[in-house]
Amino acid sequence: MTAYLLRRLLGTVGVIFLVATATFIMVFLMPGDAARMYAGPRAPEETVQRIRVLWGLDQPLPVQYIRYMGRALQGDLGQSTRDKRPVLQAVFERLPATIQLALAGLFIELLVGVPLGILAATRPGSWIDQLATIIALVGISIPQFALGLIALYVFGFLIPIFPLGGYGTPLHLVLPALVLGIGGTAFYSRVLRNSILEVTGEDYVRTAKAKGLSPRVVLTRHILRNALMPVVTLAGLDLATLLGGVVVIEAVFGWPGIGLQAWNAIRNQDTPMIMGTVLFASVAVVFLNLFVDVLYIAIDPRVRLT
Amino acid sequence: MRYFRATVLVVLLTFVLSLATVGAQDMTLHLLFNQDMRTSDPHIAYETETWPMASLFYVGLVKLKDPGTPIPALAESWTISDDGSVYTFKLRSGLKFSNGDDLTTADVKYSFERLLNPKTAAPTAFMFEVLKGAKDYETGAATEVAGIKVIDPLTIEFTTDGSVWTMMQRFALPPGYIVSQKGVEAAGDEFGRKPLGAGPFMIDTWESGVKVTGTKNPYYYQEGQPAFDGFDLQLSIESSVEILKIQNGEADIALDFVSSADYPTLAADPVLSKQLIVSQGFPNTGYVIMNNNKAPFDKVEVRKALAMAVDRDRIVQLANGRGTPIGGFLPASAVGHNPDVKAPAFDPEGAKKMLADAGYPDGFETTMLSNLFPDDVAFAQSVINDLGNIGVKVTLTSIDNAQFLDTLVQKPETLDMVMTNWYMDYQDPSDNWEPLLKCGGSYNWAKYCNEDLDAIFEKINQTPLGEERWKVFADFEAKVADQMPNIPLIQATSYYFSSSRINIETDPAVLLRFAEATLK
Amino acid sequence: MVQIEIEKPSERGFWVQLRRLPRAWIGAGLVILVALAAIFAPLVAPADPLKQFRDGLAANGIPLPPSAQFPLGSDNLGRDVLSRMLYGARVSLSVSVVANVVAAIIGTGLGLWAGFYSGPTDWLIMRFVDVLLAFPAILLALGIGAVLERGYRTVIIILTIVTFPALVRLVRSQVLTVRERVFVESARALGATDWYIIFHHILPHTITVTVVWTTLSFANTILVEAALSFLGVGIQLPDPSWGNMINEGQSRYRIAPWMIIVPTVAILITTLGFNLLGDAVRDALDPRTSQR
Repeated sequence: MTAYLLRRLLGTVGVIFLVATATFIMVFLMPGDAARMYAGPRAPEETVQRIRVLWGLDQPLPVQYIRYMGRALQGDLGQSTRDKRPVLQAVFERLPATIQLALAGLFIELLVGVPLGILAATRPGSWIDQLATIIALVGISIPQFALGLIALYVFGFLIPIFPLGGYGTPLHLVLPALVLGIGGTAFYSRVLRNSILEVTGEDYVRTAKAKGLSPRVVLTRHILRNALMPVVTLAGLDLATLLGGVVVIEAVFGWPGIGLQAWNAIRNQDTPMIMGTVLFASVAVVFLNLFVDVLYIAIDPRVRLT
Repeated sequence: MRYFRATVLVVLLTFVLSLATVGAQDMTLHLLFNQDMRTSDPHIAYETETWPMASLFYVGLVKLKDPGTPIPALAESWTISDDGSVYTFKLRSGLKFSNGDDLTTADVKYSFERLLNPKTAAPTAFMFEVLKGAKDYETGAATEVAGIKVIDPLTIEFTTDGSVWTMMQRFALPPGYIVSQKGVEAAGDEFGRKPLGAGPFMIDTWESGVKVTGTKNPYYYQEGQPAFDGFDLQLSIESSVEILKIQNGEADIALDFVSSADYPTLAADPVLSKQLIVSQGFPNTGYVIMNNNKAPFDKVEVRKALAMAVDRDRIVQLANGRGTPIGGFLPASAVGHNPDVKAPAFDPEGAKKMLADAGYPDGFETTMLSNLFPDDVAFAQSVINDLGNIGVKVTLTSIDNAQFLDTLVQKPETLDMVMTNWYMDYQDPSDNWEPLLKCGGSYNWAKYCNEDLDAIFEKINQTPLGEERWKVFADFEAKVADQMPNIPLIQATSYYFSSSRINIETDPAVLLRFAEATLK
Repeated sequence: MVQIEIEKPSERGFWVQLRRLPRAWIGAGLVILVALAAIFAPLVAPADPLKQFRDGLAANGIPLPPSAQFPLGSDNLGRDVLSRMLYGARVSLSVSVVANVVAAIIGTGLGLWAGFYSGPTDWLIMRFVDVLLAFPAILLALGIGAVLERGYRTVIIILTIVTFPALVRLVRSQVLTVRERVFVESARALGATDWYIIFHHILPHTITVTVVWTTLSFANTILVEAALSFLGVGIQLPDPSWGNMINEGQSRYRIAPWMIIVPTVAILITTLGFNLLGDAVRDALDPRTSQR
């Protein structure tokens, strides 16, 4: 187990390293100039050049890259070129809002997705199944930003039940979490449905049924316990993506999460901040992946460590 | 259905009641902003929201009463040498920063050196690079700025390279604000969020992306100001929500301008329209750049024909009426603007004929670059539509600001037409001529270069601030308009929306006058 | 996150299964509806989508609500929203079709290559795919959008790049299972070349994976195109696309809600159509999940 964990950890570090490198190259290739962006259109070229030197932007890519990585290894992600604040601190400041929205969104996805999936699987092919499928598919078919704007218009403006965006109280959380959750519901219900149908065909379920156990007991004790495995995987991956930030929803609702931070950084070519947010997102992805895999091993002895 | 309506009513009532808790005795100034606030550091600030933000915590040597008239602030008096190159300020006695520390001319010197220090990376440093020895200081050739001399704790002298008559206007802007050295050194990288100055307020808390609060500075130089005990600033509030909050008395004013989605409704309302305030700061010109180095834009007839083909009234209509058509290189509201320089009359037929006479009877094909700002994209499409009517086929490319600026600076030779706008930092005609149209100007993407006009400019620029200066520049604007180097379109007007309980004025330098604001 | 597992595709059973699913009918209906709108846009549209009507705006510059002249209202420049929506269908659909076809070819090709020749090539291709998948999609899109010139071609390239990596994985895993089967062995024993085996024995078994994936990914590319335009890297104005229509409408949602509602509904109909159809096709091909 320890050896396995160690190997996996090494692999995750490798992925983070690759993503960081790719991001660095990508930002370097992007046309546009952080120093010029910061100094504004009218600053004389000498001023802009001085800022470039100050930020090390005048150096060739390999030098910039080695410098950055060297400092990053010591836990220093540099300063934002936009507001001169330490990147690490800025990223941590965005964590509470990001985690709130991610968990709330995931909660709604599961709250709607799981019952819908079970319902669909109990009578495969029936109209309930068809309807559940269609509802789920409608969910993934709506563009999130449009759903967000419409939700704001209806529940914030026409019927002002919820605040029109912003952050602070639980009320602020409702609309963005709903919009986020509705989009993801379909994945859960579809995966769970197929997983239940698959498990239902297994021998041990047939045995349980043959023993005369009530359908409810068979469903909860034998089928669901196993059928929920892929849902756990999906939730883990999903949470990772959500923690990486949901740019569009955060932008629509003015939610001060990490996605908005990343998006602003990209628009301002704030390289240290882009790197900081991308690193955070990829760390979240690979570690939650790892966590899910370990959880798998813990709850399902059939999974072998390979 | 009835039940539903009742529910909505109850919800609405609760909503309104919860807002009514803002009582008559509330002496807090409630501010709003629709995004995150980048900084309050006056040397880093350079946006329409960060300048007013800086003015909450800081103040400079002077303020502006109107665009051309400085009034005392930290300095109680000053003298200007006859050639407009030596500026001597006398500070008020007993000045203090908001933490009680004394404020002397040493702090003034420190502040300007911090602005010019390359480590600060101040985007507005250029405004004081005209000080003698500033460049040597920036490059590290000198350890002090030769043009800043402390005479005694209350007297300080600034010397410029040659006469710079706009210095007093520059001193009133945030780059001229006085910061506390102790505060800068204690806060380090966090100084933008831990301000320490001598402005009307001092910081309490700064919650990233959510809220900033502050209390009245007891040591503010002006007795009786600010009228409020403190302020709170809510961040990331959607523009339309800001309006609702102000309408409900839950907030007093937003640092961003009224949006296109809200303005028409407010302007049409007899009561609410009275709460709209026209911004006096950053007067702007929206215009289309034509690359004067490239055919066919090198022909003045072509440039004039294109200027005639554009329907400026339509553009004003697209801006919901918030603007004035312009025909010169200055905003219509600016000092020095010539009222006789009118926007060219909309005349597609005449334009077509003029274009044919210039050798383009069938028009031509070209490209236009624009920013992604919604107004720019809309105006660009309208202009392209008008030009299409006289046979000029234009392909539009809209890109985000970082890339836009980069394209202008790095690849000016690829440009044909550019939809853009220019905001004056200080309200003097030279602030439009030098960067936009002077040979080699920093924002002169038209690559316009007319040495005769430059020579005239150099001469009239020696005129001290005041009526005489505005008059010579008015004549100058007429001469420029005859060359039509760009297509002037519109001076857009920006509005603030304030609650009915406060009186607040806009300021030509920093947009809003928080220190002077009062309850009604 | 789409799982596609295909056993033995039997054509007859497939069509029978498919026809039993109401999803298939609704989905196909919606897709055909949108395709017809796109094809016949010039005949159906009441106006030129680029025409800025002088009387298309209220005096204070507000877009006009639906009326006889503008059945679905006008936009912020006084253009007919219905016409822009119909022409936008052409842009959004054609961009998606081209991107998906290209992605299908690249994805299948690389998947076949990686799966058939294991070893360093396989490793290299899969690591490349891993990095593409691990990279934040928005940054990828914006990065490419910034490097290349704006326009149709760039949008197609971005859509292709975000679409094909997952397909490589799917095709490769399909190839791995097929490769070991008896008929491949016997073909090899009979002296068939690699090319022959790939085209005659392996490709046919991966086609269904590609088809199902592509149907489902249509919906996704339509959404990504909209998001790109929303973020300003998409199709350039004044040409209409559903994404840039929403982009122009977003700041006016309170005074002209139809400017975002119309293109949103268009996107919804299209993506829903493809999702329903794709989902039905997948179920019809997978006997385990459809019949019981």
